[in-house]
Amino acid sequence: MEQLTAGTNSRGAYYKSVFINCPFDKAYVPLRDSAIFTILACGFQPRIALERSNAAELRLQKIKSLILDSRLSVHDLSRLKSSRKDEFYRLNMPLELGLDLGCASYHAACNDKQLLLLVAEPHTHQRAISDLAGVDVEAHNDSPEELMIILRNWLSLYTTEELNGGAWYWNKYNIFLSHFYASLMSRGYSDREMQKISVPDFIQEVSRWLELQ
Amino acid sequence: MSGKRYHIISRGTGWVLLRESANRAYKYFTSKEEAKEQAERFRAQGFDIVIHRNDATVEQWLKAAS
Repeated sequence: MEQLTAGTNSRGAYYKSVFINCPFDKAYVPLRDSAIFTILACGFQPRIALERSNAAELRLQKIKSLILDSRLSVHDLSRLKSSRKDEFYRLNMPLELGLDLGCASYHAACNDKQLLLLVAEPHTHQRAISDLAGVDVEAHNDSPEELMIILRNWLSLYTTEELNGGAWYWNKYNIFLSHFYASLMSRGYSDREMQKISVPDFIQEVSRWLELQ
Repeated sequence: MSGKRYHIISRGTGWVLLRESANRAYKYFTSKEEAKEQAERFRAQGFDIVIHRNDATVEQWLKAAS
């Protein structure tokens, strides 16, 4: 069996890193982007499988590395249920949650890990993963605003910084998006390109904008 | 000029009108239409109005009337 090795992060970066385990479908993008914005605006660093693209790096290896590098993790199980006939439900999120739980349980350097579990509707996860019965899970109702407030409240437990209220972050996120789109348009991006901004580009744009605030 | 812009933003089950340079919303509305009506008055006073969808993306950007 492959041995777990320490992550590549320094200890300080480990405490500020938040692993995002979420769906990558188009409908989830507004939720994913609001999560990335919240994590950065609250002073943390989002870590997500889409943050880097290297054909030589196996996806599972990348995910294991991100998990090892991040003290905090957000696992969104909202796509456990298939939405139409003959569609397979997604098992990547539960798999990555299992890896993270295993890492926290069996890897001494990571026994201080903290996990936030999300679903779209309350209690739905128990029907798919009954072993999670009794575990606190937050429901965002597929609302980026609700997700942002849940995430902000959870992150406030792991920072000494005084955070602003959830509505403040939501306001700033809306304003950021308007600046972001205006900036992309002025730089000649087509509508199609604007729909397909990469996660690394998005993280960089949010970081830049927040620095100027 | 960021201060010369108002945003219509979703807030829970309603909508708010927020001046870009402010930390708190100007007013809460139960419907987006009401928020748009109020925003038109600011637009007539020289403010851009940015109308957002409930996922925060931009639905419409109305330039100041004058």
